[in-house]
Amino acid sequence: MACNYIYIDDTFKDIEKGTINGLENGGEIKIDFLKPNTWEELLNILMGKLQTSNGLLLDLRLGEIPFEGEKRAEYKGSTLAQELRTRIKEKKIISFDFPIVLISGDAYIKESLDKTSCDLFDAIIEKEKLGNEIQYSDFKKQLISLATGYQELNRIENIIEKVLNIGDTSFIDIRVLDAYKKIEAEPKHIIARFLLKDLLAKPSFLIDENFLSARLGVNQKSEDWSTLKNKILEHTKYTGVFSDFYIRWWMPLLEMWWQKEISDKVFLRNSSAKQRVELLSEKLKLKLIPVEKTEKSKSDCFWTVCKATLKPIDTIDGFVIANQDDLYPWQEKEYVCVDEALRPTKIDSWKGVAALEKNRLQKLKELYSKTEQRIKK
Amino acid sequence: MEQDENILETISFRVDAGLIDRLGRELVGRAETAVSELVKNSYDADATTVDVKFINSNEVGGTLKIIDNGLGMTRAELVKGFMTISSTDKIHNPKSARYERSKAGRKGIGRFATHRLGSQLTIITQTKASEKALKLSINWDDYKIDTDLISIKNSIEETEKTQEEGTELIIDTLREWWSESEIKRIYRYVSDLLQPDYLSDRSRDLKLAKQTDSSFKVKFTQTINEVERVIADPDQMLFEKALAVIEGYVDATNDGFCSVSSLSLDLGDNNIIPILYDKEIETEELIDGENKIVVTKEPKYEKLTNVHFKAYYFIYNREEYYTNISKIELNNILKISSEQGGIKLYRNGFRVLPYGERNNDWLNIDRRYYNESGTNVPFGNHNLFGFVEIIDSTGDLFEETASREGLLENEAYVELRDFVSKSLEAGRNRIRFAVEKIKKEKRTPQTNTGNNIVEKNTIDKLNELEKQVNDLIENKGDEKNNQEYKENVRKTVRELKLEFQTILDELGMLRVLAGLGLTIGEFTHEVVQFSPSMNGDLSVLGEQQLDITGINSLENLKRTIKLFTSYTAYFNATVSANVSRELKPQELDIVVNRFKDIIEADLKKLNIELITDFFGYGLITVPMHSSEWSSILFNLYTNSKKAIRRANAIGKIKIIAGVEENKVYLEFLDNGDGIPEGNKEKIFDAFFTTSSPVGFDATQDERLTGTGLGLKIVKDIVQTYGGTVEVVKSEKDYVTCFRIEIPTATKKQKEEYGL
Repeated sequence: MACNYIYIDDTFKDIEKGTINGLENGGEIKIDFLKPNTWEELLNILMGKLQTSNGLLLDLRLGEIPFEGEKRAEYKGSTLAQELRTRIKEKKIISFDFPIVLISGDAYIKESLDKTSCDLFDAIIEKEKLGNEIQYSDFKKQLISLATGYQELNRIENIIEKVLNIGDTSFIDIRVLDAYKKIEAEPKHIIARFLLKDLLAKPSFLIDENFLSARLGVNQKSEDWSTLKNKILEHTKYTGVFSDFYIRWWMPLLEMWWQKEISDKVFLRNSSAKQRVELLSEKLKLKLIPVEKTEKSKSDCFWTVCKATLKPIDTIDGFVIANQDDLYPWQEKEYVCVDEALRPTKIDSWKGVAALEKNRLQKLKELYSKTEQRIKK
Repeated sequence: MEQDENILETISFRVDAGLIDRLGRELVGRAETAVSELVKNSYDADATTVDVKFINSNEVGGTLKIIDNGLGMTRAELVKGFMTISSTDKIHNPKSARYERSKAGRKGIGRFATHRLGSQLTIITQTKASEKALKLSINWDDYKIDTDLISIKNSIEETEKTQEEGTELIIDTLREWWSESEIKRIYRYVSDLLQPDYLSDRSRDLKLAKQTDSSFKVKFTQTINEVERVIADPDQMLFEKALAVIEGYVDATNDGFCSVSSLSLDLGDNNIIPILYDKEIETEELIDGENKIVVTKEPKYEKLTNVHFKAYYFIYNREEYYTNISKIELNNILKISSEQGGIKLYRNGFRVLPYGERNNDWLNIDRRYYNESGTNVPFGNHNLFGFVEIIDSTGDLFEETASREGLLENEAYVELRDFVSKSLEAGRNRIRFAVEKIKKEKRTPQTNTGNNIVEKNTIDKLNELEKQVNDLIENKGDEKNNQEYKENVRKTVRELKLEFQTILDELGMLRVLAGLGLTIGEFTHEVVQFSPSMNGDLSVLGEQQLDITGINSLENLKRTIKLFTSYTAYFNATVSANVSRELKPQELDIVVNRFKDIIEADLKKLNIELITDFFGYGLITVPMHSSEWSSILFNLYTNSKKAIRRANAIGKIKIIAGVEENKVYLEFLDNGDGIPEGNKEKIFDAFFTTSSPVGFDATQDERLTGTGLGLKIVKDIVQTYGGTVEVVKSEKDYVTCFRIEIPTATKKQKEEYGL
């Protein structure tokens, strides 16, 4: 069954038609395009339409273009989102929860919205990136995942085992369970936010494919990589809410599997990629090749992934990036590799190294400056 | 022979005499064309002198005599040639008998020309061999409607010879009256008939007519009440005193060139500027296994070959720019400029109308430049006296229209217009640069203190003025000092006035550019809104069952839109960045990498390789605005692209950045056509441009790309931060290298911005 999204934007439908076509392509999503209205009227319309919808797409600035004659919306997308979230909490009129996604024409929208406003949305998309950095097929998957994830949340109780779809919680950090306890009685969108922002968005005990490749030391181009990650490690895959979009593996389960099936003497954390791959290939009879170091890295005991280049590195070869001071204890710090720190190629994706790392970086720069002198040709 | 019984009689066309009248009026539209046609006939008859006499022509009904010393006509020639309408002599004998001149007259026009001018014609003609002269009288008024042409008889008689050989035309009862200035106009027109001078070896070899040719002299006289005066036009010689001469040619292999020379502006003619046609040609090529539409620009002209032109350029009321002209001489030229200015066109040595006539702006010179102000280089038809030489004896390239007034607007003609107007534009830019420079030198008198030459800037001068004014106010009583102070103030004000004019001129240009910038900002902001929608439909199309043509077309569309959106996204980001005026230290390696990402698609399209190389770490400049680096890099990049295109090379660009002591540097290298030694300093000055000018119908935007402000802007930015920019020796494999040096951020600045 197609999932229905209401799309509210103050631009003309003709201009947005291509966007709508892109989203509706394949028939999995249906878009109901709506112009803003007076506050009361819009809420009235929404209360009706939301009964048969699965989610909401919102523009931030709804008052740029008049919706009728000279009448402009006097509120923003975030105001509307806030009102809807409140009504859900108060269980007014609407009995089930749904995802709200911000599609904004402003570049750097995340920087210009305050945190509370950001928290209202399940996802924030810069419209400009749609079709460029963000492919339509991926965005569609994300929207479907959000809709079905919310449906699932609406259906089940807020019990963590059900939300994460696990039999027992014994392998999970106790602090996660504590944090979850505090929100257990909250509406579904709070649960969704916890999953999306606190567990899935950043590396934690749930790791994505790049991290999996780093931790196993296996190059993703290996012939049998797919067999390894999907079949052999199937039992370590995350299968809870939103798992159709966020492909993750449980790190604790991975480590248990390694000890049990591969080696109880060699540990993942302090072995080289070559060692890990040798053991894996031997035990599993798979064709695997190890990951290589980046140019200026020293260690190949890979553990994390460079935020800019996505290449595996050991944390000792990485520089902690800035603005990570309010992480939860189960979240892992993010790094960039030495090469990127010295000579940034994608600075927009990581914004600079942490204050604590600056001295170390400076010394490294001086060191390299001495060894690399320009020879004029 | 047996007659067919059914045929009663045979009939033929009959010609009504009114036809002659109509042909006369309609074939020869204007009186000056008529006179010049008759002069051409004299030329074709190998005359060396022609006397054109206007007798009592200040009233209707006067007489015009045209007397030449040419070969004259025999009786047979008179009957078969002159009296036979549409005779073929000029076609059969394109060269004149004695001097082998290329014949100029148009066949069969002469007799109608006389008809156009007056109602009675008498021809007295004699050849060297004849003993008597022949005299033919025609009364055109006999040729009335409803009269059979053949029934009108014209008398021909033998008389005494009036000269050894030659023809005399006497046109009586002139239809119009001629004032002195009108006669002068015709004189000019007739002297313009012949190309002023040879421009190519070929025209010399072909012995085309030219004005300075002493073997053909035309003399105009006016006789009123039996007093004869010679009408002459002495102004022609003055053109040699032009401020600048712009010349150009398209060679045998279709390549265009032009040059500007000026003694007083110190412009040598060794600076040859290539003029590129740059017609866009779309071809389909197989690249990476896919058919792609490749757009290339063809620098050569397609049809145009062996065309030359020369134009004398004047700026009026500015005799200080010249070295050899008096105010009176310049004023004289100004007087004739509205009448005689413009670029005339000569085909095979003879003038083609209406090009370069008053109000004929065939090169869009007036339309294009008339409304420009503050450029210091007024550029209208009245500033130019020039001519184009076309040698096209076979008529393959250019064709005159049936009415013989103008060329058919075929491809060669379109290319000719393109070439001449681009050349003039290029010439104008050079002159503009040189004039700006003169003005600058005039307004910055250099103060000599010992051996150090200190250039005072405007602020210094204003401070000085303030001091001088204070001196003047505070000084009481002392008359001698007072006088001196006053003189000082006057002098400084004069200097400042000049200086401000130049600053205002530059400001005017910058205002135009800033306005354009705002428009582009607004535009890109609007345009980015469309990209998700376009991409949405593209993603739909991608999943359709398309045939191979559809798939190719879609792939091409995707690439184009990707290129398009990467540009708009970049400009949008630049505009957003401009909203905040904050300056902060810029890290050159980051700046360069970001720039590289943006132009990636463009580089790929143009097949240009870009290498970056960095030396040292912490390539951090003093606080600057991020858009300033965009501006610097884009200007250098645009420059390189043009140079590469001119060099016709597989493009290579290299950007090197590094740090040395307390400055960071950026070097921008390319393998284009290089910068001539003499231009290495000039290129940073305002309005100096070597780029091939755009076509005469170019839009404002296109024209701005060649404003000659690009490198000036780079220099201005760099200098604002205490940096330098220069052209240095380039690395192996590259030709041109711009090097920019900027001070590094201080330790305090780095800390302040967390770097």
